[in-house]
Amino acid sequence: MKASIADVQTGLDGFQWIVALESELLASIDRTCELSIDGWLDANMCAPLGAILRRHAARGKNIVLSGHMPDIFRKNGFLSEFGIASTKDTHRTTIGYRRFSLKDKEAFQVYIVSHFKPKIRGLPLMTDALLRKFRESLFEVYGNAVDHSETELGIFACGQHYPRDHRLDFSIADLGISIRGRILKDLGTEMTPSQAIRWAMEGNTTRKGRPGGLGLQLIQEFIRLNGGRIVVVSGSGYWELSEEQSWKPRAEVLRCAFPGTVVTIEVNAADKKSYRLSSEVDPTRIF
Amino acid sequence: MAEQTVSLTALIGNKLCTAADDGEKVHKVVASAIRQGDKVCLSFEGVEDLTSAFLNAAVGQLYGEFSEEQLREALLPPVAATPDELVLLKRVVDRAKDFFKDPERYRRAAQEILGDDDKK
Repeated sequence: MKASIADVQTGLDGFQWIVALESELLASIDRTCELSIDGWLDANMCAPLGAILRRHAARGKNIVLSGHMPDIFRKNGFLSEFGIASTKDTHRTTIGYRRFSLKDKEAFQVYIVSHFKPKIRGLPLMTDALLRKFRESLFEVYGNAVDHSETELGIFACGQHYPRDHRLDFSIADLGISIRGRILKDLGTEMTPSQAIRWAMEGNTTRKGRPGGLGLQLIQEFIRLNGGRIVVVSGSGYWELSEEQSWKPRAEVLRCAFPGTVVTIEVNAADKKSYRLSSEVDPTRIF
Repeated sequence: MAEQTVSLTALIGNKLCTAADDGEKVHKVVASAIRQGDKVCLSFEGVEDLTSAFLNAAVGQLYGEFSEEQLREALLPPVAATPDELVLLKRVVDRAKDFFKDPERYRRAAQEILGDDDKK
């Protein structure tokens, strides 16, 4: 089986391509899949792409990468998963492609802090407040994957800084039960993948005996203030929130299903807001 | 009756208060202290990052084990918390109170979404 990357950007079309590849791999009886990387791939999309390739490699497929293979994929470590040596990222604009198991909490923390601390070379000059909000958003997403996904093949992460656009994109993908699967298992409620994402983004939780569901709401609030974007894919559901859509959630159905969940957070790195709150909380009136 | 100060970062051995299982460690200590009749003060000294997932586990679930009145008595005002950290804590606490008053709300929310789409 052969496939090639044409133009895979973070968005509906990019995810249509990813799930079409997943569908082809599922349907193909060929033991070898050759994926030619000649066209553009947003580097953070290495997370969902790597997840799918890993899934099929675990099922016995021989995944071979070929083509021009832009340097960025040597620098971020994506190609080293497939036996191609990585190169040093001297400008440090890549945020390395990594796979974490459910038990790798500390490794994920080290990874995030090492990439997103103040004044680190290669990172956009983000305010400390923005950096902290961004890091905490990523920890919330990772935590959701650990707590809810039941993924056995890991959690995949990758990011990229786009200096000219003042943009920082980060994707976290799991190969788990999907949001729809979680709701069905825990609440016994049958929903479409799109309905399931909407339910989750409205701050609901399947967790029993303990409150939850606030993390995704907090991320949405932050992204609205920041002027960024959030994209959630789970199964065949696609959900996007951005200024371009006037902050009205955009829900679409993908042609095929992603075998898990992908959350992509795009930050406007030029945002200089202080994120200082207009109203403060009296510590004596919290509990 | 004693007063205990629980330093989040010292207890979990990490300045990143982000993981639910670390929040669970805090919860165990706080719940035990409250059962003994002690008052507890949470210290946010040294916290670098904080998530709702951590706070839900550390503090939110207390509202399923103790009444609001008991917790109001037992939990002293937190110390060394930034304004943003206090806001997050308050949101987690308010959400926890609502959750334990009505744990079926999320199941109903699911039915509402299904109902909304049926009407379209």
